[in-house]
Amino acid sequence: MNILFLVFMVLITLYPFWHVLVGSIMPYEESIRSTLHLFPRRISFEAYEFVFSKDTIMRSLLVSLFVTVAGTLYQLFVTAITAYPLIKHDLPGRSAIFLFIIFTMFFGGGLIPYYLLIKNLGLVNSLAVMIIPAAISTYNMIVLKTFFQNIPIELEESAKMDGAGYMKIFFRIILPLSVPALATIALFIAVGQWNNWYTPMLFLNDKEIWPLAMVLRDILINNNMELTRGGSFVSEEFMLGDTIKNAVVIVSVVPIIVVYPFIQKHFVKGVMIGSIKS
Amino acid sequence: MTKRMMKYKMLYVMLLPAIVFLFVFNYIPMYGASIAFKDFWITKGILGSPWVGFDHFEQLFKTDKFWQVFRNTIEINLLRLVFGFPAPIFLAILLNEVRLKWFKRSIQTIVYLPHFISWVTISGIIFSLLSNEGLVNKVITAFGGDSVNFLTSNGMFRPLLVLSGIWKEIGWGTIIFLAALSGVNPDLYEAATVDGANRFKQIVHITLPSLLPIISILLILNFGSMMTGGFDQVFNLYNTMVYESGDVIDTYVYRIGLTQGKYSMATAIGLFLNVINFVLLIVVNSASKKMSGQGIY
Repeated sequence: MNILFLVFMVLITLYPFWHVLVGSIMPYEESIRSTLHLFPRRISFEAYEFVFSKDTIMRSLLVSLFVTVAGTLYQLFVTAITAYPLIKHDLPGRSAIFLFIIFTMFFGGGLIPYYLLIKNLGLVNSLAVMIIPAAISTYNMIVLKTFFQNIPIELEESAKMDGAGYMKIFFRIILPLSVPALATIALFIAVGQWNNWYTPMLFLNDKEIWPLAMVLRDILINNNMELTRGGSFVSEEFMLGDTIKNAVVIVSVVPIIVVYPFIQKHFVKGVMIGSIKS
Repeated sequence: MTKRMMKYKMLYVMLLPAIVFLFVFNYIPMYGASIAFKDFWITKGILGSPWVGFDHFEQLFKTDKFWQVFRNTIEINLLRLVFGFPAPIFLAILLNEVRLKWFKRSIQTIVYLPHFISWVTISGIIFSLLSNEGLVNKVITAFGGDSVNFLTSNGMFRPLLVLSGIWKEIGWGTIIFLAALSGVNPDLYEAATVDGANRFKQIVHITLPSLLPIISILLILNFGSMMTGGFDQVFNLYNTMVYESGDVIDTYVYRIGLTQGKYSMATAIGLFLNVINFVLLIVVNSASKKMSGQGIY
């Protein structure tokens, strides 16, 4: 019974993805006729050919890649360099600084003041808005801090004897020893960046610099026919409509499924550390 | 004092970026929330706009629409609590009963996955399954039924929110419960077996009680986010047809603030909500500390 239910859970989880995958590789005529398609009878990659031939989508893929890589490196760096000093219990003002950081987790100014600030800073319609404001995730910072705390203090002390400063200790000892934790956090940040549609929705009016998540939203939800109808092969592209939507969904999911095995190994520990804060 | 601080000056340098960024992007908007008490004109700026006291709040509390989204938010969150909260506990208990390691681990890997997919993508998948020409309606009509407007009917929208929420987060939610269960002494189960307790009795008398502390903490924390509507999910799934049942405070603030340009009014709502959340969090945290000795700060 138990096993059966769990297998049922797995099927429920996977079937929607499978449905979209099959829907994306099936010729359009067939997708209208058949109802429940478990397996495609004929395979056709025309939807993918269309997707990858479309400038809008290719450009958005590049934007997403850039924003994900740059944003992850930047946020990881700021988060790590903040977590390290906070493990020093004798640092004067430590708890005040910690409170200053943690408070932002529980209280904010709200959407409108944030929007006005970004506008006043001139970050509207610039890719920097996708990267710079998200400098630090307090949650990830706490996870990293907990990890750093468990690095044996003796390693640091012997380095200090040799005349190394905190900066050097951080870069030469703490960071290299924390690679697994850093990699996990990096992947978490990367998934967040890749999925981010909210920031571009608020601040990027210029479609030229939309990331994939935003283009996807436009195609799926706003049902923007500009993409599926535009171009010279009007009727043919319109016919592809649903299969194209499915193909774009798959394109947005694949990178996550690719990095997923790497996060999966570590995230349970990360979640546990983050869930109960001291 | 300063001498001690000099010794650590490199550490302060390391903290500087975070302090600057948080000040700019988190604390300045907190100050900016003062426009809730002002008649804000974008040309005059925050400082130049005149104070109006609690006018916006008074106006707000007189608006039917506001009370409707307020009620929606609470009702939707209560539904999430009643149906969504026990779901991962149930799944964790079932997973805990699985003795085959590889089988358990592969199930976990699969059910965690949707957590990492964004609501934009998931709503795309949901549309393809539930729209009028979607899979589910094709099946219903194939069996001679009438197609159902899953996405545009007010009666269907809340179940859709709750179920899709469970679908996305149930696996992820089990992590913390499974971790709590991995700490249970296996001797307890053995002793129970010797005493003739069957699997079901073991669950009731050993597994559930060992989850109780973590359940109570999470339950209390859930009350602390009662006023948050899950913007991502609602915003990507709703449409004008289901505002009546599905419009929550977060989405309402977005609409009247950014699409209608009522900056001060939207900020007033945001601030009201933020203060309630913050107070709830403090109340809830001290309650949690009293009851279980554990809190989030």
